[in-house]
Amino acid sequence: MITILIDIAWILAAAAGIVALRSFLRNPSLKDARDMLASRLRVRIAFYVVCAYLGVGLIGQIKVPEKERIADRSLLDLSLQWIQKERTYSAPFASEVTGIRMLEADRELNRVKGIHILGTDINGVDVMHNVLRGASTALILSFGTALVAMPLGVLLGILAGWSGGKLDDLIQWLMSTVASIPWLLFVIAFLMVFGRGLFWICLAIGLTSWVGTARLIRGETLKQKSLDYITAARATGLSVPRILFRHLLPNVRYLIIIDLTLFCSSVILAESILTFIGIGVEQGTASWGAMLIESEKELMRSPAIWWVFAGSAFCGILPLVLSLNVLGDALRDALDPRAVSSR
Amino acid sequence: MLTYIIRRIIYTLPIWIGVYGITFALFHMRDPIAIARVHMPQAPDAALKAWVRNNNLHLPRFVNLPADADTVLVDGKKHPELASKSIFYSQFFLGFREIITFDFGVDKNRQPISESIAERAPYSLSVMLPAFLITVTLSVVMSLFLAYFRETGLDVGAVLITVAMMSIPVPVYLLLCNWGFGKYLKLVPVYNHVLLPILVSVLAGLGGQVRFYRTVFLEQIEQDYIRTARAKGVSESGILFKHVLPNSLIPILTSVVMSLPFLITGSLILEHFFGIPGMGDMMYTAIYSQDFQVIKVMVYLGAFLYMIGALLTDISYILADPRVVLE
Repeated sequence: MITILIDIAWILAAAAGIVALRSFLRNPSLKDARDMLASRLRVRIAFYVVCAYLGVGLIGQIKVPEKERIADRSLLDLSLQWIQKERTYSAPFASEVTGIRMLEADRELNRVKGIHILGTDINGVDVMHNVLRGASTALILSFGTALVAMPLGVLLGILAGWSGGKLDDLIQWLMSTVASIPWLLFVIAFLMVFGRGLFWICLAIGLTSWVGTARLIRGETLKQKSLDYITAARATGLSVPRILFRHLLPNVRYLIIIDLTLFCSSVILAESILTFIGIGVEQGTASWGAMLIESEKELMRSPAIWWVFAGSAFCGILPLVLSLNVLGDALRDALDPRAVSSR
Repeated sequence: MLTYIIRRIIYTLPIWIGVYGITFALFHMRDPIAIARVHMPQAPDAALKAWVRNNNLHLPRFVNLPADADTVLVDGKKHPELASKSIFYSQFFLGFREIITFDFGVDKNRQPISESIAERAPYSLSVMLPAFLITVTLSVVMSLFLAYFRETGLDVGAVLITVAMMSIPVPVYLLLCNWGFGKYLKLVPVYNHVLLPILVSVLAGLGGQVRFYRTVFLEQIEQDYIRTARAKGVSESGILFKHVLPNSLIPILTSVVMSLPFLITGSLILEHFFGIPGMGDMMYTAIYSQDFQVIKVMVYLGAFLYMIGALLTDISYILADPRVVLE
């Protein structure tokens, strides 16, 4: 029952995302920016790559109720059900498993049953399947962390920029305080106290990383505050929350979008580092960081099992993070008039 | 100058108090038994209480009142040791004394933490300092080069490469270098323990740094004074070295001086992986043995070094740029 509710929540979130994206793509005032983005091939590729990972992550999140009581079976697992499980390691596109010397005489047993584009791991599980499952962990982490950091950063940034005076001082003090604790140390301390797991990781990273957003929004609010439309809104007697959230927020929206894109890429990198240190996701969670740990052992074998490493690093982390970075830079070029071009 | 520095230090006091507040809230406000259970899910109650006691979390939180039984461990009654202590014998004030006196107490093995830090910092520094110097030199040179070739195919391609380098996490560089140099090329192990961490650290930092310095240089190139210089007939290399570089000194100093204090804390991943007995390794050990005191000290130390870095940056501005005036 609860799984169905969570599924529905995910589908609704996806629908909301698609609606938001459509309104962005259809918005007439953004036509120039959109043309500029679409005219660059690598931005288009990056956009499709991010969409593909989002899609895979989403269907990896939707759990399918199963009669055979296999826990945690997702739509992704169901759609990749046809991939055969092997006896043990097999290289990409190999016809025989590697690593079993004793059974060399028995060719029939060593034969690989299906085609694995990234080979199989020690248990004979398809590596590509694991990489795709990692996408949904990356999705939860980025969105969960953004859900903590973005509202905090935007709210405090707007409040500080708008109010000035004592409240501004207080919020600025909070920002400097949080910024002066190195994020990795804070996250480690936080996870040591509260335990591992996706929820706590999101909360820990979110609580340290809102400062950048807040500073950005504060600066922009300070600038917008003196513009005519705000003066006009004040003169018509609108309430302050209404001015802030209906008039000011839409005008700093582009900053939030740029920040969010680059934010997600840094969260995915942070996950792999945290998991590599040993305080990241719990064991058994399909994540790219966990695959990197696994590949540390596999690379040292003889002959080296390189495909687990290649799969997690170059089919999981790199394409998604690179696309997010390219997209974020392109959005900044297109939407932020002040930014020095990073072309 | 001296009054400026003193005033500058006084300004950091509220932040210091904030840092102490955050770490105190983090480590001391949650029920210690619950924290113990995070690390030992199946342990019996007695073991949990022993853990709490070892981490000094059984003391009163704020004040040690004679009549108050507000301690966590005791089953309704007060510890005899607490009755004889002063009113300030609490987690809050003991921790406060630690950070003021820089006497950070002892770790799990009863080793004084301050001594371990003094012992381990040189090891971290010996890896991080060369790595840092190489990264900064390389990236300034490379980004000047890119600024010279700005808006050509070379520049566009190089920027894409730097973004790709920024999109790879440290563990990937680490595993790749370790496998490539250690196993594939079969270089001697001794070589690995000195050069590989430096190489990994340079690789991991290079992408971001080159991109940052390139933006800094391009920002200067777009200024009016550069156009004037060009109109006067100054050569392109003269513009880069005589005009752009000196005027970009402030952002470069910010980034360099700010990261100087952190060279002694080293890198958690690298030091553990290559067995360097530095501060990162100390942190790693603390994570695995759930040594809260060490982790707490590291958080304080991190914040302290950050503030030192900010102070040094401000001072370096004054030294580097005559236009900056003391207020």
